[in-house]
Amino acid sequence: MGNQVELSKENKFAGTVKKLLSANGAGVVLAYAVLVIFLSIATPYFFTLDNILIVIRQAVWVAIMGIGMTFIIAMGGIDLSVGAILGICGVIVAALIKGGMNIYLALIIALVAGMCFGFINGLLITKLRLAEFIATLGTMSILRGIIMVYTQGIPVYGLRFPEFQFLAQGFIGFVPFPIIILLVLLGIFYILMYRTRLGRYTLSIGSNEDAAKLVGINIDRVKLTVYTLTGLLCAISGILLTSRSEAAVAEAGNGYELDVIAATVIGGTSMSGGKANLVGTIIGAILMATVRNGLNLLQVSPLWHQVVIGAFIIVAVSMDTLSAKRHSNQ
Amino acid sequence: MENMTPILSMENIEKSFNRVPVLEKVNLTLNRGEIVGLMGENGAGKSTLIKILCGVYPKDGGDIILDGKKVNIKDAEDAQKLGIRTIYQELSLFPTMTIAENIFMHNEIGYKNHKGLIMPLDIKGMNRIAHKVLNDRLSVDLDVTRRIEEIPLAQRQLVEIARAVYSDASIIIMDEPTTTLETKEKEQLFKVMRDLKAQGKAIIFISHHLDEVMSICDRVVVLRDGHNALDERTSDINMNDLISAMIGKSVENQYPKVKFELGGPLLEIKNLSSRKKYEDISFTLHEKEIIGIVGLEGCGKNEILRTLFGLCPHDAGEIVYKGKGLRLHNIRDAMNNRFAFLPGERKVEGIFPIQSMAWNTTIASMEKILTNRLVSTKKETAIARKCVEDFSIKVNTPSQLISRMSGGNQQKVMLARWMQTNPDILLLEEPTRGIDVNAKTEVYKLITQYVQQGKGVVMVSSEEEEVLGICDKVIVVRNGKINKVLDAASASLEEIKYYSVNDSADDTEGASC
Repeated sequence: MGNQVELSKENKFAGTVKKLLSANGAGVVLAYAVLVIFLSIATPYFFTLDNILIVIRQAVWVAIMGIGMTFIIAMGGIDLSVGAILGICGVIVAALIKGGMNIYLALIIALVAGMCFGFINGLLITKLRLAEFIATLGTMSILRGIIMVYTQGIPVYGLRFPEFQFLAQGFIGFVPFPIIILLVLLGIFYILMYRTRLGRYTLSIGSNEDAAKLVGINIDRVKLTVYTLTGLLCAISGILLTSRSEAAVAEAGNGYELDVIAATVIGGTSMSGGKANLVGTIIGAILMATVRNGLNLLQVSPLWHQVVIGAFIIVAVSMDTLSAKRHSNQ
Repeated sequence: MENMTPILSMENIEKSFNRVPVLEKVNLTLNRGEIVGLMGENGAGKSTLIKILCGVYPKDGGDIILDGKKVNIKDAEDAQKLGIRTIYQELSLFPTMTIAENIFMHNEIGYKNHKGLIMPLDIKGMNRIAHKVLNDRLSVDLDVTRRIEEIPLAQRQLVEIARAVYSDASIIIMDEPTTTLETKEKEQLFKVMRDLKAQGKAIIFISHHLDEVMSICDRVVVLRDGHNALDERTSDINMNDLISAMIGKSVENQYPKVKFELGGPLLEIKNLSSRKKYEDISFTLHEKEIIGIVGLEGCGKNEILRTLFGLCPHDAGEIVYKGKGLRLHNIRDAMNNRFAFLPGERKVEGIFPIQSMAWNTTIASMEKILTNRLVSTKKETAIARKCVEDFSIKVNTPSQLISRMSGGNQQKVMLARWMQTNPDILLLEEPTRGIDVNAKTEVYKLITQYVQQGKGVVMVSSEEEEVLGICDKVIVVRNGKINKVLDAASASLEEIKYYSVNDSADDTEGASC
């Protein structure tokens, strides 16, 4: 025991530096820095305010859903249905507005619908005791199917209403409105994660569910809440995406679940649960959008985009695991 | 045998982590057909020494001499090739595979001597040999086609030993093999150890249990703060010599029991039954009383305790608490009535390993660290610091990860966690499992201080000695029923062991246990 005390004194400075370098998500910051420097040199347009705002705006949908995914993964779970919830909420809001409903009422209905889908995921997981992967795989498929049945594959378009367009296309000052929404959500969920019982209980469940049960945490309630909130975040993303394209496309959000999971993990949230890095998730989402943006600016054939993005995910995450390994080996 | 060269001799072993020395010129010798006990408090360096021997850590200095030859053990595979096998505390078996498959893990026999990763396996042959190894070398008869998850813990350990024996290990290291075993199973393990010894194997036996080391080992080596503190034949020393060598000073009393005048009844259990688990359990817990529940593994003692925390439903009987009937459907019922529960499997059900000490301390009483519904780090740290002081917890800062703390300190954090909820009744499962002598005494002191305030404790323990040392009343459970209630002050270890196995109705026969 005495050894440990000595150790802390001797290596305090070195320890702090090491801690910073091996902190969750240090890999993503490093990867991002390298990428930005490279792209700034390669294309002069990259490092302009316009382009930076474009990149962030493209990252917004994934980033917002990533906030929810961070909670879920930190709780030791996974949600494959986020893209599908985004899609169906987009269709709901588009259909309602097009049907002549008051825009604000339509928005509220879409948000509530998102929460309901999340809640259903939660019920399947807590009451039917389904594995998270399977439950959300099922809802993903069902929701995608419903979208196809309802739209028949034809987009719901023509949503040219200024209030609705403003959500994704408007500006406050020079800042795009969706970025403001993202920042507000980040602030709220940051406090939820690190300063409330909900966040603590989420992380407790992720680090040891048995122990969490034995300190009296109502695990089902926490899980239901987290999945419901994630549903809400997906609905927000769905509304923003629909507002951006002024139409709800049946394929909207298809495959986003993988981007969202990747952004979360790149951001330093551990797949094994118990640790969360919300800011990292946002950076992860922006990183992925930056890669896409860079590929466009460099005029790389779209056929190659997937390959580069996949490689980037592997590099960014392995930087983190390597530093974690070094850290635990000492 | 005595004068032959030792099979293993570790000389002047040195090891540091981050320039902090953990082992300084440590020696350990081992002869064929000898069982050597390796003892020391947590952090004394015994696991580091063993890990060096097994190739997990490289050594910084010193020599390892096997059979007269200097060897260089680079990794775990090297160690295995040299005939060194370890049986870890956390059993390293594959639960969904059969006994035979486990014994032959990484040592499989190919059909018609095929080799390589995609060889056809000689399953029948392996089953036959596995059975033979268990039968001939360990004298146990097991169905080797059963899966590990289907057999009791004690038998799993035998499988691990069989694996070591089959791979022709000459040195077997057992890391706290008895922690989870009941008396009878321990006897079986000891018998196996003696058999192995007769076959010329050398065994290093790591244990916190002084009595076990004294009875099974030929020689004992004690480490303290990374130095050799004692190396004697067990026949030449007594338990107090061991304890003083471990903690570096002599001890007067390991059990700081204070016999308080009991207060009024706190909790009355009346004819409690739970199908197939236990039946007709009745006892009364008074203020300032500590009740110990003992019995063999599977006798129902843990279920009785867990029922009181709402974890295990009961289908008949009554729980009367402070004069009122109580329904305990779930944990929150129990917590609302100020019950607290420390689970026995600390790592599995107790700690949040990747969270800080402060987090682990405050998680059961979060309302204390909230300001306007938000977590106040200031309050959290203040509570954690107070606990560090009150419970004499050794930790660098409250933000240190709990998994980096010793078992004893983790257990104190668990106690601190529940003391924050101001419980009236403390339910303890194996309160000192896997923690060292010094920490044990400190935990006993904390429990004693707690009951002094008019509270009650019910504890389940498989360490009969501690139950006698710390409790007022001992309830011996056998096959789900209360077999005997003993007064701890006058009861003996033998009585507890006797009533764990024999029906008290047969008392007059006085059969030996």
